[in-house]
Amino acid sequence: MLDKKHFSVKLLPSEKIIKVPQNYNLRQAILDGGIDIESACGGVGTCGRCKVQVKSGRIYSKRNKFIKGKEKEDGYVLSCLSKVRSDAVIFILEKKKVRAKIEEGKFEIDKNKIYSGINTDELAAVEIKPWIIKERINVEKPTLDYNTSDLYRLNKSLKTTLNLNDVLVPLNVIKKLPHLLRENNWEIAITLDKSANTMINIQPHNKEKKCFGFALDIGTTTLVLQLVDLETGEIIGYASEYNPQIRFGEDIINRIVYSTKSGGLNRLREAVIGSINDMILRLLTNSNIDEEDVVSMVIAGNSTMMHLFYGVPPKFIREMPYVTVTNKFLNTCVDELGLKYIKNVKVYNIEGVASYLGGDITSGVLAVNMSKREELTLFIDLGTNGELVVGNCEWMMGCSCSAGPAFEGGGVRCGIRAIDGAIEKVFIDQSTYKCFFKVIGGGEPIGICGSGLIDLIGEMFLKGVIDRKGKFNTDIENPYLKCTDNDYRYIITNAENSGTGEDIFISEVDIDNLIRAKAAVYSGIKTLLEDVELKIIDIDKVYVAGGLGKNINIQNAIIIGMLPDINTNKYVFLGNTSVKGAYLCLLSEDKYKYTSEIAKNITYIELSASIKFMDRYIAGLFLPYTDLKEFPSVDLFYSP
Amino acid sequence: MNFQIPKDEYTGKINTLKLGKDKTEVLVGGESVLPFYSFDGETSNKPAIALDVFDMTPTNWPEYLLNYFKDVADDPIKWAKKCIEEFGADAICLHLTKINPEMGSMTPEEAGELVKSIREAIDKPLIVYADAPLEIVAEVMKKVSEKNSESNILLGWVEEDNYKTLAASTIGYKNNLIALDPLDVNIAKQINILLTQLGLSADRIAMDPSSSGLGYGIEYCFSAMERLKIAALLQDDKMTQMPIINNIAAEIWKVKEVKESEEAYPEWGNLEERGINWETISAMCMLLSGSNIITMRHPKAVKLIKEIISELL
Repeated sequence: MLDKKHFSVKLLPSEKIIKVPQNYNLRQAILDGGIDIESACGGVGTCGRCKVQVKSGRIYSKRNKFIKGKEKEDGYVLSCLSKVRSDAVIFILEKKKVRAKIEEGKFEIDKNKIYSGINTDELAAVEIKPWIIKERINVEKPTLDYNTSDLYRLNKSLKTTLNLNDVLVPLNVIKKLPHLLRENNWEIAITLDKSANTMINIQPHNKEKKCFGFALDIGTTTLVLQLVDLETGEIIGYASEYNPQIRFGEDIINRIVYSTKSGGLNRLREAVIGSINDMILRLLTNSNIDEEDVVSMVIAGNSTMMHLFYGVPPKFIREMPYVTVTNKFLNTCVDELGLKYIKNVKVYNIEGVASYLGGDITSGVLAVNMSKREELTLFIDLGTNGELVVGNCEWMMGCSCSAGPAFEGGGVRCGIRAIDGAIEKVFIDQSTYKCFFKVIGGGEPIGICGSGLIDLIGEMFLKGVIDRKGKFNTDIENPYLKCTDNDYRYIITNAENSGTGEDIFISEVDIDNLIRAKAAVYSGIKTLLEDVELKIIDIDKVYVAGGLGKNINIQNAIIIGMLPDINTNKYVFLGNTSVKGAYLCLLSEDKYKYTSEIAKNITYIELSASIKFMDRYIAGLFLPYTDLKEFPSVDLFYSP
Repeated sequence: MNFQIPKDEYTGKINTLKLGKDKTEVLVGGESVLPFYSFDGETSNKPAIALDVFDMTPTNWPEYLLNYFKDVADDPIKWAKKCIEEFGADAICLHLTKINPEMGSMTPEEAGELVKSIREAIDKPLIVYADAPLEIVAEVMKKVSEKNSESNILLGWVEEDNYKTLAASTIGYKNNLIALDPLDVNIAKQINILLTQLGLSADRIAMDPSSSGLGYGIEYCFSAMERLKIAALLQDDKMTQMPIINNIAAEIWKVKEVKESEEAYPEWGNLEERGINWETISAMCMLLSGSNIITMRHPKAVKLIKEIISELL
């Protein structure tokens, strides 16, 4: 191994040079160079997105269907199928996808409207009853006559002033104890985990009594972090970012596949930890909060994301009979996890139900409070893995239908998350086929988010731009339909008017991905309801969660056949319920404990074993649905 | 009290498809009960047996089969006539193979003329299948339809990706069209919806569910076709009420069971008998699961199937 040849690979346009051994995978080399290269398939040569141009050097590349003809002559290769055989210069095409900006901002707490547009009646009430507390305490000074140990005297004070017995004091706290007591004249501030009866930290007494926590949602596509004042419940700061693991594969399956490669699991873990660290630092810096005052963190995420976060192999989630290693991880300290900038913080995770119904859904069920209500509720979380739970206070059943990242902007060329610059509403003029739209935050559009995509498909279908199969109608005079290399694109706005300097468009492949996603969601809903012998009209309330953008047009979601054709008044859109549940847990010990009860009360149905699910999925690859009788209201809008 | 045979209630009816015109006209479909359920109601038109004819001498047929057609195999007109006059074909299924650049160099124009000359020479209706890639099929069939306008020939095939051009010319030239689906009830319905929305009348469509032969997944075809018929008849689903055509001969006559010699497989018995049985059983399975038009090749199998049909109906 020692004499194995090494080559240097220069990456353009960044001019970064990296050393790699002979036959090293080129895509891996580019990733090692810190450059995000798009890849939906996780590097197995099936998506064709990791295309690069070899400017010089010997690169051995396997034959594939994506690169042929002129591109081949020009030295293009799929980096994932290529090996480095000499010093080389590689040109990496500019990433089409706009890198999302971090959103920041302060959220005011309104007693009646805690969350955007949703009042407390519809959500679990926020009840602030934190179990991580911070107290000031006086410890008796030792004397020659009273020469008990520091810890003994601390425990004695805990008992007399706070009525706490046998508090566990871990070594890292004991190490700080002697000096801190003496430097602060025997008066210190303690941070205590009441539920575990454990001391988390000690600080000088003059510190403010305030303490803060983080609520974190680890989604397959999106990470969301909230910084919360544990006393008032105020959300001090908010950040969201794409999950950096996307570059190793866009969906859960591809991530799991990647995790089984040598070093893959660790790379995935480090990627997500790195992004969380960035977000933590940013929120702390912007809010001027001392890291010492942050005491807890509650995490919600799907089972695979939790496995990857904790560095536990998720391999068997993907293999029959699809089981997790665990649905609940031990509460740990940040240091063990590699989280930086916050010390002595206990990390709690919300219990999941099964392999494909994770803690994010338990968290969502807590947030929508369906397990405490009598009315029959359907809860839909439109994430990368669409998850569904139906039931009420007496019973709950859930399933997962892999929808893909389309509604979060993945797998769609001009798709982005619901951030400033995203097109969130779309209207198409019938006579000219021109597209009109509304951009989040005003300004020029940089892409289109989930709610915009739902509108777009619905409008294109109603106005005859596409047929029921999602194929462009080339028989009409549509000046916004452009064809390059046999690839049709409907131009939403041209390069001059976009914030990216490029056309914002949708292609047939994009439409196909969206139709697959909506088919999976609808098929999941139908199969789940049928399994419990319910009809969609029996449902009293449908809660839709997800990062699609808060202005989702339910009517259009029905027109494209994603959501069942029932009275739109029954629908409530909630945004990210996973982080909301984590937020609630942060503030209330009872709620946190209750999530484990929720998780155990949800009966899980495995749809990958269901023939009916597949059958309905195929039926769903049509607008709105193959059986038109299921969407009677769509006829009111549609006249081919 | 007399015993009353219980009867199932049917709400739907299969469309009647007109093949050919005037003296050549043959009707298929039209039934309002499940296949051969004459005790339940109207079975209407008998299934049609279409015999395969090729535009060139087949190279992959077993010799014992080709022997019946050896004298006519290089002339599709004579071949078609022989099938009708000697073997009792209800229709002729012409396979255009030379339009495929890998097989020959027949232009769409020539294909159209060939179809016309055969159509004019025979007194039974014509079904035309193009054995070529998708893009070529649409081009050739457009021409075939144009050259044979208003003759109710049945043109094969369209699927989701090529339905538009061919459907438009089929409407214009008043012919019939085969909608091909990959053994999937939903996709079959989807193509039918797309075609009818373009304006092609539902009674000008036949469905080909991509059947396979005995031993090669025939049970899967059976249940897919059964589901189509149940949806059509019991649930009155208009988009599944098109008659079904099974282009099954091609599937049967390529398997090893009809080709391997007795020497190689003595336990399998006489080769020709084996071939006849293989085709008869496959065809019967298709008919029992709802086939309205079926393609066949061996004259003795055809005879057997026709006998069974007339006994049952």
